Amino acid sequence: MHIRRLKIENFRAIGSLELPFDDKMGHIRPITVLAGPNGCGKTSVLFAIVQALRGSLRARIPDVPNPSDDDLHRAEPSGRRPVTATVDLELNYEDEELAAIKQVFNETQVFREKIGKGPLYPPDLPGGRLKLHWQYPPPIRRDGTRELATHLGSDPDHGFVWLNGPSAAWRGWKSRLLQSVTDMYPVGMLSVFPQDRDRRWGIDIDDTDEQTDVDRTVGPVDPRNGHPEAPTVAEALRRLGEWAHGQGLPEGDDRRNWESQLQAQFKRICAPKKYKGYWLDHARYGETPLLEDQGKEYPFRSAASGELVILHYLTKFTFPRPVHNSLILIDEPELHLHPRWIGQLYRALPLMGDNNQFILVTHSAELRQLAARDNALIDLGDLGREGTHAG
Amino acid sequence: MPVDPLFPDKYPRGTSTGTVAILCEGDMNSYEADFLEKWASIALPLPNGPVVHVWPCGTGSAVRGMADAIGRTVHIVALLDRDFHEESSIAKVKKKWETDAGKLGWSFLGVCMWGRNEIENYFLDDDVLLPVMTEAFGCDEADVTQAVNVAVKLLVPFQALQYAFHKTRLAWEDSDPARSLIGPSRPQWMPTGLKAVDANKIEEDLRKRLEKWQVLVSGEDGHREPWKGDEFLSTYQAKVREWSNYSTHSAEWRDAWAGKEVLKLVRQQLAAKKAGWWSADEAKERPVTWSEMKNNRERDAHDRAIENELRPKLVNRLVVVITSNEADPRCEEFNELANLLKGGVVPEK
Repeated sequence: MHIRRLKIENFRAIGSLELPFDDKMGHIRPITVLAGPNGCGKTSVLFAIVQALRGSLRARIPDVPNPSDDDLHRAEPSGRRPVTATVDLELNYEDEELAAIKQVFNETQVFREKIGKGPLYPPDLPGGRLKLHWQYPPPIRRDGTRELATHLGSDPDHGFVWLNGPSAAWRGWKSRLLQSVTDMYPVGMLSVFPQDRDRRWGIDIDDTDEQTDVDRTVGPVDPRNGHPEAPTVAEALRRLGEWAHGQGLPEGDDRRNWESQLQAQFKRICAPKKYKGYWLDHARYGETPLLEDQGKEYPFRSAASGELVILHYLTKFTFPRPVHNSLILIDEPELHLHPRWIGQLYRALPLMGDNNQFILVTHSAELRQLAARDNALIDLGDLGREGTHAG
Repeated sequence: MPVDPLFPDKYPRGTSTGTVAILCEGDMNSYEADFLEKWASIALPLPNGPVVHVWPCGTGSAVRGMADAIGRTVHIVALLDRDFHEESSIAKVKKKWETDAGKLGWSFLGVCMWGRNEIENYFLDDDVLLPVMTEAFGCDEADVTQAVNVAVKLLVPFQALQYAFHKTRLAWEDSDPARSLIGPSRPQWMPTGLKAVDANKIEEDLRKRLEKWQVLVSGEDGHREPWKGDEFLSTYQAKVREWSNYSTHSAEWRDAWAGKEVLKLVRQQLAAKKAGWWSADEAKERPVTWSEMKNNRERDAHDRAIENELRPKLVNRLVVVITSNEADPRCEEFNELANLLKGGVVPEK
């Protein structure tokens, strides 16, 4: 699931803005970098995408607050706030993704029957394109109640089938209606790294309803919101380490290789530093994820903030499953990173998983330069002049 | 001429890290900087990697000027186009760079030459060119191969003339015949399509101009330089004869010729075949009618816009090809440069 085009009206810092995420050849760019001065609406673009998608996707993104009147654009010439904010997205699905979602729905029909609902099949999606409209406040029905904030094309019910595919599949899998979780691998997800993300080593990595336990049990409940607690980076690394040792997995299961894939990606960005893997019985540090710098080992809790940031990215791109065909939003990826690591991260991102779309927001001169060379830079304005996109 | 608003994003700035500057030919929008930075990030993932920046300097002589400007401040590696150099003249060029660097006190790690005429030649290999062009222009591999074949046939006189110029420059170090000899030699877009300039016409022009030039280089007390016009002509004639047999199946031209010229003609022919994103008409997409454009300046401007879209795709493809298989003979070609760059890494304390 990728974004081809985005139109925003009256949302936060943006009066009116239309952005293409495809190149002149019509291919969606694997990375788009949004740059511009403070207040030009870069972060607002990311928040608009999250608001438009998360309800339909059932994505849990606590770092992006729920929409409120404060999100209505503040720069109306009359001084009054506009009445509504809208976001229009044109989404693009890959063929393998469409096939996987259909397969998931075929396998979970019995679940719908159980709860007294008839069969539901995703309709054909010509060209793999789905149009979505989000509005705040949601429109009011005749009976005075609010509509859902998000509408999909001319056939909302069927449109939701596509967006609900991933979460429906995970619910089906947890209910033992789906036999193999690998059916879900081609289905794209939404991942978000907000600017003010929690940088502690215990950071949550799970943005969705997806549960990660191999035994399909639900973990402890977060008292703040009643949701099952998301695993931390360290917990996810532990699970990857257990899988690498074959714990709970049959011979030949692909998950046994995920920790080594993460190690290779870490090395590519941070060499000569290495991520050595999760150690269950290290003589000095006990049970911990372990790193190494020029022959000297140190535990995860002693790692530099930049190293934790890289591990956070890599863990999220690997766990609970490698991201494929996904949409990944990162606000200021340069935070805590040396310019060289930013460059290495930028170059490594397209190699993580298959066919992901990254949208980055940045003030980094290094990132701007790299993206400009790839025709992947969208400049939302410059200090001292009108923005080229933001209204 | 419109100014590129992204200029500051392309110019080397102080945010860079690393310890070595690579000075190369080509302009700021050329393939060198993009390719070298991406390749170095994979081939040389050393602590604080060695490449501070890739500085495209324009011509070979400008590379030398830039070396003089920054060579006492940072480690430098010079990377030159091979052009039509042969092994004996390459050794001479390298020796001269080393001598100059020693005399002028540069922090000079070495000089390298591309294994082929210039960087664009590497994009002409089938495993790079075909996937990128078929995807970009929505055509078959056969269409690309045919465009290459036409380009190779049409470019013979131009490439032969460039070869003859190159040889002449090496022989007549103190003067540049190109200044007085240049006439149209590249294939030209005519109302009937893309045509080569007749090789005999080029030869006739060349002969007349050489005669004038002979007078020019002669002083009152006789020739200031030995007359080598006949040698120049015979070099040109020999190369036209030899290269007229080249086709897409010949391997030699991929190394020896100026690759950017082949790439340009392939691009233009594919853009002329059908409508698409490359259209000159934004209102209604249509094939590019190069022959209807006013002049070569207008053609070049439109061609640059197309090239700008294709460049990162060709570069990314080449980087993947040469870094994913160590046994690929092209990897070996880049090892010399990698070893020079490693010389600039600051040892760990």
